[in-house]
Amino acid sequence: MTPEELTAILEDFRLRAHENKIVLKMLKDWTRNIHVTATDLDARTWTMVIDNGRIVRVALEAVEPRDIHIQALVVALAGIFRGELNPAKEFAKGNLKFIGSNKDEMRLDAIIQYLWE
Amino acid sequence: MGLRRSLRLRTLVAASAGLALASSVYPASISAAQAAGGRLVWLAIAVAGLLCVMASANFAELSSMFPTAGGVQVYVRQAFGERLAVTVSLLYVFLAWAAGAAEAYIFASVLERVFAATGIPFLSTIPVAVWVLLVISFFFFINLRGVETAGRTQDVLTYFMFFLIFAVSAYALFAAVTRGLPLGGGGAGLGTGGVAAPSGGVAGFVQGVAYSIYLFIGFEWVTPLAEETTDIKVIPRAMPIAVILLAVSYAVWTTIMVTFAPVSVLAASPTPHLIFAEALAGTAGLLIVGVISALATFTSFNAGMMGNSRLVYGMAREGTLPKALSRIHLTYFSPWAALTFMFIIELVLALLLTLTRSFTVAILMAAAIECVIYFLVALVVLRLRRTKPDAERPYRAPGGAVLPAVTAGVFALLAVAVFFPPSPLLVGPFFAGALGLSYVYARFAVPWLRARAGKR
Repeated sequence: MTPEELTAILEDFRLRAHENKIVLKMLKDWTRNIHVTATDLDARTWTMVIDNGRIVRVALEAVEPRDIHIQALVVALAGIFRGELNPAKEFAKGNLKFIGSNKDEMRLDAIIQYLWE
Repeated sequence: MGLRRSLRLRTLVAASAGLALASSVYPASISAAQAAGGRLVWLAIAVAGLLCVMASANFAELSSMFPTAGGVQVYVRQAFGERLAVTVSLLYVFLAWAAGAAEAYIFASVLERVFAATGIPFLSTIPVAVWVLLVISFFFFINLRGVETAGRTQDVLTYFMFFLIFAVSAYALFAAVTRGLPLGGGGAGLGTGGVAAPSGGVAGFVQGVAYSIYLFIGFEWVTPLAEETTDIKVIPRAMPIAVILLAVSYAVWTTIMVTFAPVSVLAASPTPHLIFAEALAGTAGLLIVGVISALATFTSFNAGMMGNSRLVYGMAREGTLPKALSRIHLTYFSPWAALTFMFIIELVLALLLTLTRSFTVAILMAAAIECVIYFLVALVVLRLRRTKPDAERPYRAPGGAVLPAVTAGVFALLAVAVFFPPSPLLVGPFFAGALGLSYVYARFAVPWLRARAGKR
C-alpha cells in the first residue's frame, strides 16, 4: 500500500460522505481537523479537514489544530476508510489508536458505520 | 470539545479515584468492619489498598505495552484470546450493573433520609423506590444527551471530595477525643456503648480485606487513557497515588464511623455515613455528608454509566453483542441503544434491591468480580512475559515474577473469601451465574453472532 493509494481512499471516502444524506446530517455543524497517521509509513500524516458540516479537503500534511488523531498501520487505515475493516474490531485488538473526545469518537464511528454498513 | 492532550498526573489520579468515590463504598466499608472487627477495619482497608497497589503495577506494565483505550480486553485478548477477553468484558458489564444498582439504591436512600430530616413538604414524603427511579432516569437522560463532565470539573470535584472527607474526618477525630470515645470502639455516640463488632479472627480479617477491595473499585479504569499521555510512566504513578489517597481516606473515615455508632446499627442501614454524620453533628452533619454523597454519586454513577454503555456499544460494534446495541443517536451522538439497555437492567436491579434491601449482595458481588479481574490480569502479565519476552515494556512491574504471582494468588483467595459467611448466601450463586453466563455467552453466542453477520 503506497501513500498515494491511501490518499485516493481518503478522497473517495470524502466524496461518498457527501452523497449520503444520513452522513451529511451527522456532519452538520461539525468543524474538525482529523489527523490520520500511518504508523508504518514513517508516521506520515494526512488531515481530513471538516468545516461546518463539509469535508472540504484531504490535506497531505498535518493541519493544525489537531482535534482528532487516528493512528494505525496503512493497511488497517485503508481497510477502515474503504469499509472493509470494522474500526471497533481493530480498536479492540489494539491495532487502532484514537485520540480525541468521546463524543467525536462516537460521531466518527457512526459516520463510518452508516456509510459502509 | 477539543482534543485531550498529554494528560497530567493530577487528572489521571482523579480519573483513577473517581469511580471509587461513591456513596456505595460506605456500606461496603461497614461490611468490612463487621467482618474484620471495628478496631481492625483500618488495617483491613490498608492491606486491601496495598494489594490494589500491587495489582496496579500489573495494569501499569500492560498499559505501557499496549497504550490503547481498549484497556483490559486488549490485554486479555493478547494473552488468552478472544473468548476470555469477551468473558472479562461481560464481567465488567455485570460489575457495572451490580455497583450501579447498589449506588442508585443507596443514593436514593440518602435523598429519602436527608429530605425526611429537613421536613421539606412533599419531598420529605417521597419513598425510596421513587427516588431510585428519579436518580437512574436523571443519569440516563444526561448520558443520552451526551453531557460529559469536563476533565477540569472532574478534577475539581474529585479533589474537593477528598478535601471534604479529610475535613469531616479531622473534625470527627477531634470530637471523638473531646467526647472520650474509643477509636473504633463504636457506639458511645449513640449511647449504646461496647465494642462494635465481633472479630472473626484471621478468616474474618481476610474477609474484611476482600470486602474492602470494593473501596478501590475501578482504579484501573485510568489505563484506557494511556494513549493520551506523553510520558508512559505517568499512569504507573497515578494509580498507586489514587489508591493510597482512597485507602487513607476510607481507613480514617470508617474508623470514625464505627467510633460514633455500633457496627450492628450501621450495617443494618444503606446509609451508615448519614447515621455517623447525625451522631457527629446532628442535622448539619447530615446535610454536609449528604452533599458529599451527592457529589460522589454524581461523579461515579455518571462515569460508570457512560463507560459501560460505551463498553456495550463497542462490543456490539465488533460483533460480540447483538448489533442492535450499536445504534447511535444521530443528534447527540450517544450510544442510545446501549444506554437504554443499561438503564433498564440497572433500574430493575435497583428496584429489586429497594424491595429486598439486599444491597450488600450487589456490593460484594462487585468486589468478587474485581478480585477475579485482578487475578486474571496478573496471569496475563505472567503469560505475556513468557510468550512475548522481547516485547517493549516501558514499565515493568518490579520483583520479577514474584509480584504478579503473589497478586494472582492473593486475589484468587480474596475472590473465594467473599462467598463465605457473614456474606449473604446469594453472593456466591449470583457471582457464579454472572461468570457462567459470561463464559457460555463468549463460548457459544459470540461465534453464532459472527457466523450470522458473515452470512449477511
